[in-house]
Amino acid sequence: MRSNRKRVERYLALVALLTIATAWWAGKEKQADRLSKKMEVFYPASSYQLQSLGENLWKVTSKKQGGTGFLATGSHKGYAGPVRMLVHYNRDLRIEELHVWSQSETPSYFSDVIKEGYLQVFPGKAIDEPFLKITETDGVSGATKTCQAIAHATREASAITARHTGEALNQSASPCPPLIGAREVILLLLFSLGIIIRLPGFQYKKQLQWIMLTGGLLFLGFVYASPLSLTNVNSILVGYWPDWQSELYLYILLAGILIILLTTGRNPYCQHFCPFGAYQQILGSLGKARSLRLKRRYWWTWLQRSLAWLAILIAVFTHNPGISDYVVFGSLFQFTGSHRLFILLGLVTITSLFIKKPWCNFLCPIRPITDYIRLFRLNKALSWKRKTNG
Amino acid sequence: MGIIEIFLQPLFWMIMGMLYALVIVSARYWARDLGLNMNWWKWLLTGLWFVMLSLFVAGGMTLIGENEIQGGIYFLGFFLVLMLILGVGLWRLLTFNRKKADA
Repeated sequence: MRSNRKRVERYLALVALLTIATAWWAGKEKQADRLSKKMEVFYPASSYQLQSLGENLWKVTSKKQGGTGFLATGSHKGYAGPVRMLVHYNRDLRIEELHVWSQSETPSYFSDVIKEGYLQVFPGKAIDEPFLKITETDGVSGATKTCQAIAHATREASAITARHTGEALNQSASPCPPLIGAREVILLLLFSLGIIIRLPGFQYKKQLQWIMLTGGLLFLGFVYASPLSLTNVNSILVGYWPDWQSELYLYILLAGILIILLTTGRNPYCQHFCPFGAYQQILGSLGKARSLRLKRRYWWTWLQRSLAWLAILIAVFTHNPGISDYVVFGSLFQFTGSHRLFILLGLVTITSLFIKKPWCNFLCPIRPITDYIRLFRLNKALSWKRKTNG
Repeated sequence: MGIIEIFLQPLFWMIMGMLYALVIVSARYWARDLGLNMNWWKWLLTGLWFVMLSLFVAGGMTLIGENEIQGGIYFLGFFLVLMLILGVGLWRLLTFNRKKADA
């Protein structure tokens, strides 16, 4: 029975991988089509004449008003993926208007940026404007990376236009963030504690567990709001690899989880210092929460896995890592998210008082992903090799 | 203001007042029946929790009444969940070393 289940699990794992790869390929084909359609929406052939001047640059002439200008596109990495801007410059090389050509940010964060009128700050600015300063003064709190990406992408569009017109552009680069900051140090410390707690004979496991939980909740949760989310995983699957200099934290987190998971089969992040796990555990201790013993626990696991698979499938098909993310971390740690996520957070919070870690056990998409990675554990592969050799 | 509101509004507050009086008067009997060893600071905490709960419900309902429906729902949702967490904590505190009533 058990070996049958294992075999079925392996087949389904393969099916999941194949469907995700197919969705990625189909989505890529569709994306190019979507971009050209969007261009037609912003600058319809009936009102504008576009003449290509090279890659990502056009001369634009309004058929109604007769004015000419330039249209350029620029792109920069945001929170989940690239933000592509379409910038229209008038004859005086000032921004006439700008549009978001494509983006893959978390929907609720991106709609905040639009609602707060961040894009309205740009029109009228000269081509050599240091746009990053706009982010510092008019950026939307909680969506800094998205705002910076818009500013950088607009700057790139300006650089393309300036190269063509021969305009001198102030080349002052944005300051490069430090490689290792307090966030990365705390994460490394938590990983080290995660290894220490597993050492045989270590006496203060309970105390250390609480230190790690509190540290994870305070620092990775409330201070830095950096829990591992489905958007992070989707970004990598879609191919939007984060910039390693500014996102070293994410690389340390993923590498730490992967290495420890593949070698020991344990996931220190989920077990010891995931901020949302810590939140549930603290609430559970307060309400003396009990483990929910379900008769059909195995099927609940599959429901959780199916949800995660569907969310990843949607993200890779649309090439939008944040579109299907249903994690409630943002609603708790940054007070941002859709109404549905806030309702879900409320339900999870209340349930956590009476049932042990309901989010982790029944809904979290990270757990199915780590289960999947566990299939490729090194010692499993080695034991299989030993068996076949023996 | 219509004739119904003239009668209904005072009636609502009278019923509300009676319910509050009933809760306050019967609190010590509930505590005794539940086997809670109450002292002055436990009563103080319980009273504070109840006053805060009442204020948050009143605040949320006022926002909804003033047509700030979304604000009211968020206010109620946030503070009711917070009050539930504090309530569970308070219950743990009150039932610490509790003697069963039937024991």
